[in-house]
Amino acid sequence: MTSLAESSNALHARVATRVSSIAPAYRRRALWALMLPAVICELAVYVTPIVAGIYTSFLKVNQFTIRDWFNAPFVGLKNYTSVLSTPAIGGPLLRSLMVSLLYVVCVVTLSLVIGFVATVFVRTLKRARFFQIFFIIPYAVPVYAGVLAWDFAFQGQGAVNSLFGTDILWLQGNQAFFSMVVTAIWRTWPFVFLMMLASTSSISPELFEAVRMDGGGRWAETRYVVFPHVYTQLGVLALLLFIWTFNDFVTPFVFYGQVAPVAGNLFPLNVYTTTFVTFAYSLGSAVTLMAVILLSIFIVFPYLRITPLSEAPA
Amino acid sequence: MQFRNVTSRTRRQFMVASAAVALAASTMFGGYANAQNQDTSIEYWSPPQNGLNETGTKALLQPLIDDFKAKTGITVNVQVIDWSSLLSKLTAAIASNTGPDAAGGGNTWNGIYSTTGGVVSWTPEMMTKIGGMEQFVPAFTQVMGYAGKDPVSIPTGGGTWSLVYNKKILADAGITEIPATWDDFITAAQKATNPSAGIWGVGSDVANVSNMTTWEWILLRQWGGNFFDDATGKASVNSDAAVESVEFFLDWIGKHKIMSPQDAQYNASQAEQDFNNGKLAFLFTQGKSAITLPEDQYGAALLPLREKNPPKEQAVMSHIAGENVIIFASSTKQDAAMEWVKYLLTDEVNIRKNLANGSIPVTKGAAKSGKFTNAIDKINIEIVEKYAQPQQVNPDDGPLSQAYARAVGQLAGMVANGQAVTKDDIKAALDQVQAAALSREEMQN
Repeated sequence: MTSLAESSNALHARVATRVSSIAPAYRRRALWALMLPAVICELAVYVTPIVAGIYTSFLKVNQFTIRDWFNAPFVGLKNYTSVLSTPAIGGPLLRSLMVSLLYVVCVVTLSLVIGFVATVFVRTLKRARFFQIFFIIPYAVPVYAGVLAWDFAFQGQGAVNSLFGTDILWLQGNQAFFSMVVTAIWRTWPFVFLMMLASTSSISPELFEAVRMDGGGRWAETRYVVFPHVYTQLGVLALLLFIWTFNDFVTPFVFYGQVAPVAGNLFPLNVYTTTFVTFAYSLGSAVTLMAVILLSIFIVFPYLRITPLSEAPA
Repeated sequence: MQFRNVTSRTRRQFMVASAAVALAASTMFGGYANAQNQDTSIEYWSPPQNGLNETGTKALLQPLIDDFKAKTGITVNVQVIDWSSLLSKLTAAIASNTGPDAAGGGNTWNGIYSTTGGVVSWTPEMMTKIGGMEQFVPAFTQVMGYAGKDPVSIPTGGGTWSLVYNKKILADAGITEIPATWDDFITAAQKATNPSAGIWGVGSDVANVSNMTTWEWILLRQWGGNFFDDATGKASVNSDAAVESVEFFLDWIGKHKIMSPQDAQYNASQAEQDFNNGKLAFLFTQGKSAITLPEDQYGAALLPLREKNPPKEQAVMSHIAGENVIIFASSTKQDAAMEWVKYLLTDEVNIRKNLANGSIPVTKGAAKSGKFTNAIDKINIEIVEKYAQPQQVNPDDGPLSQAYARAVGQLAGMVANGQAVTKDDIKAALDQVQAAALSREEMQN
């Protein structure tokens, strides 16, 4: 009985969807006309620059040809092959790509963990809202100002050395990596916290009551109620943070300017200093494009897993 | 290039000078075709003068612009663009043919100007119109473009590096003679260094790439090397001379301990600040603008050399720095722009502008005027006459010198962090810079 009712409901729903989603031809034309400005804007703002960027990577645009860059000589894949075949150019870029990936993994993982743990503890407090406002401050501070403050703190006579009574050059050697990660987590975790807090506030109180009835404590609540509830959001957050953190240019640039220690030379900074600062525009486009393709593997597939596209009518 | 500490005395001199200029000008500039220029106005991009912001720079230039307008009828509309973005704006303007009529810029950008073809080349006839090559202090004629070709930019102000020292720290340390060789310099700097009092022998903005490209080049020249091979024009940054000069510089932090490890992460002008705060005995710096100590507390001297009388080509103490004016090929008012350049090169205006800017004059008349009385100015005028060399004009100069400075900066960071950096490490780092430069070169062809 139930299964029949279910299938008839599903059929009904499917028919309803189909009927309402397909408009008659004249209405479809009207819809296209209405959407046209948006489509044009989309093309102008997103698609054209991307295509221009890709096209640039097949040209030889540098200080000689920048004057008339659209007519710069076409060199095909030469920009790509020279990056891949010249260790002096490709090697440091590859190394900084690795540093960047490690940086992203550290920052995103720790930010998610800290944000989630903080949510679990703060959620039940009476003053949850106070914490919400308090911890959002790092996120609300302009990025540049926040990083600059950390830059001062990490200087030789800065706050960090004074606090611990040490005499460490925090922006040199491998400490440089640690300093960047701390700064990025400081800026990133409040966002996770805010999202988690908002998400958990919609959990029905009955679920927690049920856990308590069964004799479960805070751990059981977290394990069987909170975590399953925010699981998907955590995935989306991880993806978002992955992209944001990978594209972090401000932190290394404010810390090191153009002279970054190897452990602090993140990919965006390295591309900037080795290609754009020196007018190698085409080389820069090629390197960036390769990085984008590589990153897509990390981004698109997890994204498809988290948000299945199967809602389309069968 | 800057001049933050304008004393009231200089200001007064200034006003007297401008009155004199106005008087002299009324007779001198009779030849300007005043009437036909009444409606002409030109766009001029200026880098900041005297380290001032946009408003300050405009206020500084305004008397000159008013004076110029009175004499020629030409209006100059100034836009101030910061040094950090000036070159990229200029190249973008050249690229899009949307440039101003004229612009000031760095004299090391001639290679880029030449290759883009977006700026006017000065034929001998044009040079004669603005007063001829003979009016310049000879050094500045070497920084107008490729040797043997028509100039692409005209110097209006200049500067050099010099050694400045804190008189009190030297006296306290019992140093009576300013060192003339590097050996003497290291001994003196060690005497002056007292980390517990926060005083170091010398400081340097090691992570400031644009400063270090020049400073490390000066050392490289003293050791007999250069960024490019003179004969072939190919990069030559992994030579023995380069390795030795870099090692010498790194030893300031490591072996000799005359420079604070902190300096490895100085990426702006922190060393100048340290000097101004009385924490440094010696400092190598360009011009006087960044030095704010009272004039009686510091002195300026020639840079030390490797030996008392080195081969002439190694007696290099500075590049020839300067602000050069270009005229855009896309300009429709090139004649009016040339009038402006001519005006900037008259002795009186050249004295006025460079005194205000904290730079040194480019014309012989202005240099000999006796108006530049500051210790650093005087030594800079001497250095540009005897010990300054132009940097090589090469299209890869920017990328190569920056990569070199970044590599040295990274090595200095390692030394500061307590890691041992050997000659082989230096060689390996410079090999990498060299290899990247050669592959860039290959890609250009």
